[in-house]
Amino acid sequence: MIEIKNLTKYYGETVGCKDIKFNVKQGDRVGFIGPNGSGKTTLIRLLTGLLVPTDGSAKVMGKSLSDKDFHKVFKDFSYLSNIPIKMNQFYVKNVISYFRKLKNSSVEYVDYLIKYFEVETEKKIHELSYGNTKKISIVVALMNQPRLLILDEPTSGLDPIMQNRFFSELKRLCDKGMTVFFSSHILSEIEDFCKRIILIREGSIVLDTSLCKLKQRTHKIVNVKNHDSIINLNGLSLVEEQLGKDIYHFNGEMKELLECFLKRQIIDFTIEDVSLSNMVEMYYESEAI
Amino acid sequence: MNKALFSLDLRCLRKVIIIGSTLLSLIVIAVWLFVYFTNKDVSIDTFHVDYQYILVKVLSPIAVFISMYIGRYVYPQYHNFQINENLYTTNISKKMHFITHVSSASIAVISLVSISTLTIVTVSLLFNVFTLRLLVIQVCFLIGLLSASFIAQTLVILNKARSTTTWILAIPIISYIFSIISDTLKGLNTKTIIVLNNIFKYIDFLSFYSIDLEATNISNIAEIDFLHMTIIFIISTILLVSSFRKFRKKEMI
Repeated sequence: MIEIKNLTKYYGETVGCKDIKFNVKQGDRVGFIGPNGSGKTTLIRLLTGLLVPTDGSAKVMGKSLSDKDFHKVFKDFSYLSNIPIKMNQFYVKNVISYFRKLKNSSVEYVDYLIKYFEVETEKKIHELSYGNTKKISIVVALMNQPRLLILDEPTSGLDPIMQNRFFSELKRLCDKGMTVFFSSHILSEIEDFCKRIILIREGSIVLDTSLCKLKQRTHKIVNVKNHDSIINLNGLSLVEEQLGKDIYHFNGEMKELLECFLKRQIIDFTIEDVSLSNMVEMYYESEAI
Repeated sequence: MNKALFSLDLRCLRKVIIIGSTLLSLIVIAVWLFVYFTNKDVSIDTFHVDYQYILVKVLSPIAVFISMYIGRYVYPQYHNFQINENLYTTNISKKMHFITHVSSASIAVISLVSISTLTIVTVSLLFNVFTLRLLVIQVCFLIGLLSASFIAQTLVILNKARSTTTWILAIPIISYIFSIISDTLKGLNTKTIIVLNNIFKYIDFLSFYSIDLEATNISNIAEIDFLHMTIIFIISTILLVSSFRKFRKKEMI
């Protein structure tokens, strides 16, 4: 779906993104994360043809960014910008109608999306809140039922109910084979929705792995309650002592840990994966997972 | 041409067309009534001369400014970048965007001139002084304004939005101020004035209308230089068409 080879973008002397290389296959759900100003939006805008690369190349759905007929990919490719549509003088129904015609989308599906996201069509855009304008952008992005969807912070401003509806609709479309490239600062939603993580920092890709592998590579968090002495086991290290609870990091065979607990008759414990948010935080601190 | 994009462009331009054509029509009516009440002997002979004078001295800078504003506005990516991200990620080629934007700007300018033409024709019919010469003046007016709109579109494609705004304000103002200065300095005819006159002749999109109040014959007072008008139109069209190469490769943010 997406093939990127050494894609580079400079704004004058400033690096937007540098030497980016990765592929996204059909059906992938890729979470694209990185700190502010790391080059996420630049890369997304390069992939949508809104920006022209300084060097390198990329193919989206088989078409090169430099192809004269690159626009044809937008028949099956949608982009949801982080900035909502702001055609303030327009009625919502008119905006949706214009984009429905521009994207040649089915009336039935657009009507379904309007009802599903409870879009207020009879108001002018400037009368709506940020979250409600975001819903218009979502309807516009999904209306052509794309095969490839690039999302740039799609849920900012949405209430939890709408966030759930948004992800339900995304999952429904993904079940039909849609590929999603998802940029967000809300790491919990990336963790819930995506299967693969790409981390960008200072314009370069520093991590590209599946979420499963990432979790396997990182330690587990072990909370042991109501146990007085410190447990000694290879791979187990105490990180924090709290009242009635010790927190360990464990990096080893799960079987050995459970056997150790059984031997010491420890029955009140929990084992958790490190959250994506913590993993990213750790990455920034230690520069390696 | 893409119909949906065309109607979106015209929807964006609706306010400008309504305000612009109302403004031009009101000016035509106001100035004409002033001429009528201060000079009762309005005749068929002098009607087109008076109108052309009003056109050059009063309407010209306003009309050129509105046309250039239309030419700039029709590219919504520079006016409102939030529309741009959505418009340029649809299945419409850059060529189609270009053709549609040029067409919608032209239709907007045509609407503007058509409404002011309707006003002046109505006024002339009311005073029983309608001449075909009036329609010729209006067709030339349209060609001048289309040229202004083409140049504004070219500037939008070649420049960033802010500098384009400066240009569309500067061009009508500079050419208008210069037309006043050159009228004042007409008697001097120095080399510098002649050179400057020739330069500004091509910056002022309506400079093909000439007014010579010292002419002995009434038909010579208000003349139209059709060759000059054709050159302005052809040059602006060529510039606009050749800007397509830049537009095709241009970043849309």
